[in-house]
Amino acid sequence: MDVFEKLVELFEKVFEGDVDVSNVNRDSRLVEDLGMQSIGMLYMALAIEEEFGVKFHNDDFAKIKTVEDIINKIEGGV
Amino acid sequence: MSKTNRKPNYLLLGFTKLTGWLPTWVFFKPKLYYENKKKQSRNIRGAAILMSNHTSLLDFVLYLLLFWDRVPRFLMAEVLFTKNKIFTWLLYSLGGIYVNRENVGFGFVSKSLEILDKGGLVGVFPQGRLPVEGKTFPYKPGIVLIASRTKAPIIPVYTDGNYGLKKRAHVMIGEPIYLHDHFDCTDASKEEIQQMTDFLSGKMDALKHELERQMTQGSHPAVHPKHLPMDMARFCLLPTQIKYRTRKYYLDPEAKGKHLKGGALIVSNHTSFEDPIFINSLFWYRRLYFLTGEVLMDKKLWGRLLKWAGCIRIDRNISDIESIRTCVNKLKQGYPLVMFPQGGIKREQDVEEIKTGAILIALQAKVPILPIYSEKPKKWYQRRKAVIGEPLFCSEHCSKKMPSMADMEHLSKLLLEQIQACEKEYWAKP
Repeated sequence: MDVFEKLVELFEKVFEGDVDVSNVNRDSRLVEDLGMQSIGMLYMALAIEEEFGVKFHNDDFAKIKTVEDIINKIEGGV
Repeated sequence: MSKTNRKPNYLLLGFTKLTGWLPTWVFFKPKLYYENKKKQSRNIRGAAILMSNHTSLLDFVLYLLLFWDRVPRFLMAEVLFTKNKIFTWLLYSLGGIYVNRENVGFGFVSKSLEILDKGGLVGVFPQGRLPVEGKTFPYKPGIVLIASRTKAPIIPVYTDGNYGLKKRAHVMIGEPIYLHDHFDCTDASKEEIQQMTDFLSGKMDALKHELERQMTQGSHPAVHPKHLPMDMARFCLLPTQIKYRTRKYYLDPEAKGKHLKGGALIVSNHTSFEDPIFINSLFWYRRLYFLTGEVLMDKKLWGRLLKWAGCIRIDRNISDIESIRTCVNKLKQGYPLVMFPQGGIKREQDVEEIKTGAILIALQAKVPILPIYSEKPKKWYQRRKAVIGEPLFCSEHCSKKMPSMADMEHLSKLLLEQIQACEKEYWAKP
């Protein structure tokens, strides 16, 4: 299972029906397309930290806009 | 020989126990906690019923190795004995007692009583099966059927099921429960059996909370240089006790007179700048941390003083993950953290909305949330009153390993209801 697939699985657990995971692709925008709010972003980041062992900083949230950005962060972090 | 009466293979058991220390310390690394070590330690003496929650098939292995000088004879469901012949032989050899859940047979009760009569140890997972997608099952009355027919105590043991190479299992051993001390067990009706089952289920919930509390209760030295500024601030605020002369009311009568122990997230309504000082006076015996907005913390001198006094800065304009992490760490270290989930001072009386952040922090730190309602008195010399609500244990309402956002919203609603219950009580009191 690659990082994207793992990430989609995580989306499914965290957003449980609020996000249609079948439409998620690497270019999906977190706020505009997936409707993530700030608390959702925080929770998502904490879940990713636990799952992938990367650490998010406050500055990262300004840079991360799409699913691809998260994957880059995970791969860079790992 | 019937399936229930199969005897264990003591040679294999002895071998397993002798060689089991290595997997125990590599895979389980169990950390033991006790409700009251004087009453029940790890050494279980005489006949007893070991009652545990069920998190994984490995629970059985853990207990087998943990209670190294005893042979716990666990009740095991029929499905386990149908996997393959070797596995079935292994389970019987390690002391498993066959229980047929489909065609309710009571052979397991008589077998258990026989073992207890000989001074043995019977193990029961009253939930009967493993959790499915994080959801646990209600307790079944099988354990009551055994315990009500014997004088042997029930030893409740709770495990967090955190097994793995890079993990550590936390196991809580509770005080022995003598069912006959609480109920008249002779000729118990179906309703009474259910009542006893609910009683045991409640005991296990309490044990789980005790484990969570002890896990977050760090050893904090009474005096330490790093706490000096914080302790000085607390000392300076001691006279506020005279100013407030607080009347405390509790929604949970049992909490009256008890001190707050371990890590806990204290949430309160926010009507004035005085609120943090007031809450500090309520819990004067603890070092409290406060989640404080950027507006106050960014003031040069104030910011520094507040930081010394134990305030943690949060920037409400961004996703401030670093502050959240600091809060979670403080809670995990066993400190209480105070936050105002309305997000700022709201002078209106009714609490109608709170932010989900409190739930996120409590879930991450695995600590209870203590709701409080209080308002600044109209005249400065008036006594202040506070209503302290029942602690909200998130894990009690959501047992998933990773709760969804919808679960968090639900928990947030529950917390709001708790604060509103405090508010109602506040206005009902003189």
